[in-house]
Amino acid sequence: MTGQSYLAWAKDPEIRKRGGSGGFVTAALIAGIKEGIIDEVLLVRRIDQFESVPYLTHDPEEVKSASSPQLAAPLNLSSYIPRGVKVAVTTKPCDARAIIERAKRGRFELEDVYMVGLNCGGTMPPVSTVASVRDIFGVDPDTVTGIEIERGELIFKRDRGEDLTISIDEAEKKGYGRRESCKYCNTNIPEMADLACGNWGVPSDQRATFVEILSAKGEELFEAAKKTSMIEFEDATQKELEKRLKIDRRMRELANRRWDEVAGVLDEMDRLAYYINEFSRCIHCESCKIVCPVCVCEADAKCLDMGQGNNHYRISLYNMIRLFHLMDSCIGCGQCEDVCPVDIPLTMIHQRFERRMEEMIGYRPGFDLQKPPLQKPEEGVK
Amino acid sequence: MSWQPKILAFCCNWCSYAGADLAGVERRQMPPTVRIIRVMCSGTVDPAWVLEAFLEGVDGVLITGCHPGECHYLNANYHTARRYRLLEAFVKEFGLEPARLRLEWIAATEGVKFAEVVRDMTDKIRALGPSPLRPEEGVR
Amino acid sequence: MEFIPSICPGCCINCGLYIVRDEDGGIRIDYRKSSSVNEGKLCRFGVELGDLYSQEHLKATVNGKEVDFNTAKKEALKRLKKTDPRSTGFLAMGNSTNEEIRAFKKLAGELGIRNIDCGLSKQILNVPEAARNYLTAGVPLREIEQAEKILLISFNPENYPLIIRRLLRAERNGAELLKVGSGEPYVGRGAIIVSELAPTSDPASIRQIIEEADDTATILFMKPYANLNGAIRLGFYGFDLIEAIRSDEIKSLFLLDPPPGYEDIFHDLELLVVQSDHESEVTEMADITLPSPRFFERRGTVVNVEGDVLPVGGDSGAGVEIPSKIIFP
Ligand SMILES: Cc1cc2nc3c(=O)[nH]c(=O)nc-3n(C[C@H](O)[C@H](O)[C@H](O)COP(=O)(O)OP(=O)(O)OC[C@H]3O[C@@H](n4cnc5c(N)ncnc54)[C@H](O)[C@@H]3O)c2cc1C
Ligand code: SF4
Ligand code: SF4
Ligand code: SF4
Repeated sequence: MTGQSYLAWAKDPEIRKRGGSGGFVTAALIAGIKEGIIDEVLLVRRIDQFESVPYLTHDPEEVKSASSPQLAAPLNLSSYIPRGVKVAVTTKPCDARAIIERAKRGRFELEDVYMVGLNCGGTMPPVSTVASVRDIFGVDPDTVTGIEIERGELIFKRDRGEDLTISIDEAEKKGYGRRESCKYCNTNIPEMADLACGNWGVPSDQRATFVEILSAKGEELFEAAKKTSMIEFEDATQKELEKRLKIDRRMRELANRRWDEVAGVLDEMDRLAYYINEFSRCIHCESCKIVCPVCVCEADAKCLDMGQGNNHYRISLYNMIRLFHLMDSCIGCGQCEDVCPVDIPLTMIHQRFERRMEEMIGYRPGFDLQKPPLQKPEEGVK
Repeated sequence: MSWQPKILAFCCNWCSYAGADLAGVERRQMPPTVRIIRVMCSGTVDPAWVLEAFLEGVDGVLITGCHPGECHYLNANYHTARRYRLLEAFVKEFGLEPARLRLEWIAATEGVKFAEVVRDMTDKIRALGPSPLRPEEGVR
Repeated sequence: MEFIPSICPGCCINCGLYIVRDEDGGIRIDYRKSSSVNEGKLCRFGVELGDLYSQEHLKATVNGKEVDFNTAKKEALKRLKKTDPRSTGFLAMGNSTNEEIRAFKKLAGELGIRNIDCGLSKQILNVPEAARNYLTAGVPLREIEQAEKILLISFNPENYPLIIRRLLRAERNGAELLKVGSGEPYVGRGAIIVSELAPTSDPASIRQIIEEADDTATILFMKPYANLNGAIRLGFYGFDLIEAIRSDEIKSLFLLDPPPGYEDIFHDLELLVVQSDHESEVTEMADITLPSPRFFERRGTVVNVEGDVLPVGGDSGAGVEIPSKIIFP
């Protein structure tokens, strides 16, 4: 039932063992294919521990081989969703929010997309993560077989040799760890998805996935997993429910504190000078536009069209239009900042504008199918 | 007087453009700071034009439209109001002085009001000085 | 949707990226954040690489007529054998893999042709042989970030945008960053010196940079094409072909993977054989054209800015299947 939470795990011991928590996600995806609910699954497949790519498949074996969370995979799956097929997607909150914004803008029907949500405490940039193994532990990164974050500890698993452990705080003080945009992202449970799966709330001696059912589509997948006997489960207890929400609250507090640290400095600053200076480095590679999951304009985009060749401006019209257009739709996914070749802190900047809009209008992009504020008329004008 | 602000005004064909015209016909006292672009409705003013105007070096942008409920196209000025609200927030976050951007509802008969708004906006911008977004090589 | 790990052939940095093949056969790029030189970031050239790879593929032709590959190959061999080796040249400006350049060099040797050039012979020959390793010494880009002093000698970072962020981080870490024009004095002790080695570079100033640097300095010469490092290390130089073509000293030329920008010099050749992966102004002038696989399809390696030997089809094992056809085994 929608709103219900369970501890669930895959019956297949191999899926349960390989899964990030209890293998429920993998089991439910396979059940969805077998029951004909979905045609395709879009997930993340590892090339190695530090490199993963989006992967579209309808083969249960492929789904099985892709289980386990990829922490060093800061990608957004929403841009790879095929049109016109029923597809299940494993979604971190930023994937799910992007999917909703893309659906609003007609890229696909939300009805066709099953969002199997994953709680997310953050992803890590692959290159600095590789470097951290070498720099912090003096160990060859090739020996690492898995990366986990558990109870504030960053753990590099190894087949031969001991696991390498450092607290996330300490790693981040040294300049490693999660992406900056993840540190201040304050949406950790994908409440806008169809299911929310994670390990928060699961007792430490139990191998299970905490599953919250968030919609009829989520229920459909859960029922399929039950019907095909792919999973076993029990109701989440009150204590487990509370523990999960407590951790979520704590994570959000930390994120907001981080936001105040990195973005608060701009409050008192000459922001105009700051923005002009940061964007003066822009080489107009257009990557930030290409990767932005909530921007669906193609080659005829206004930022590209109007933004060409006005190089006497203090800041390019391309950048200005993007700043304005994303004000009601930036979900803070970090993709733009990841790819900016001149290291402009784009996500922080877009989020400054977006969060101002949020405060003013009370609208948050990526949570529901409401029209974006810029497309709506003002109510009660005097 | 040395420096004069340059204000770009987008005026709706059905109301404030006529209002501005009236201000002229009635020879209302008005500083020569405003350049008017006639639009068919304030709702057609793309915020990107406002941004472009600032980048081109104008010192202020004025958008004028019909009073709420009197839009020639039913409710397009409610869209204007929404976009303006976001533009206002944008300008604040961007660090540009809020007085450089203004929205006013001005009917065809309100020549006096048009002249007043321009005078007031000119005074405020004159106090602020030239726009910090003005290109180094000046305004074309 | 197939993700092929690959590298950008746009300059010596060799940024990592994915080539993505869609179901409908379309080719585009995606960002490969695990690539250490660029951490997924690309300049505009890399961003637009999909367009380059979607260009019309070159066909095998003889005198403008389409023929099968073997006919073109045989004809090329036949005509090259007929030329006077002294007025024949082999030019490969670094847009090819190490393996291709090696095969190309070998063929030149077998035909008795000694006029080989990667476009940089003039500059390289002006540097004493013992010091030529400085020309291709790689520098890990992270070291730039940690440098105490960086000298940019006749170097415009805008031509290599992916260097800009490293310089910026270096400055943030407290590095002293100096721009030096050619001929201006500087103190290079302990510095990382960044300059450019391109066909248009002044040979005297390249030599001067190397001579004046003591062993406390590190020198990085940025290069405008994908694998000039490889070409130099493989010894693919010896004769200033570009000048010799201009002065009509060279009458026949075998051109491997030409970059754009040199079209005007090839007009008056008696024989022009071009191997390339796409149609261009130069292939249109050619007497014989030999198609090669597109860059990302080639099985081979390049030497990147950090001095690493990288597979063109990515370094991750997820593979490129189409075998590269090295023209003459
Ligand atoms: C980056 C990341 C951070 C996480 N942080 C937390 C956390 O702080 N708290 C918490 O309770 N849970 C977190 N999770 C979720 C948790 O680790 C498990 O993924 C979840 O409980 C499901 O477990 P499972 O065994 O049922 O899934 P599995 O059977 O292991 O299936 C997981 C599926 O997710 C896909 N996947 C892997 N990596 C990604 C990715 N980066 N983006 C999108 N899809 C991916 C895989 O392809 C696989 O299909 C995180 C997951 C990820 C990917
Ligand atoms: S602007 Fe950047 S952070 Fe915001 S949604 Fe787009 S890519 Fe994500
Ligand atoms: S990614 Fe960075 S450099 Fe490229 S267009 Fe965007 S802001 Fe400019
Ligand atoms: S910097 Fe060089 S290698 Fe990197 S994307 Fe640009 S041209 Fe390609």
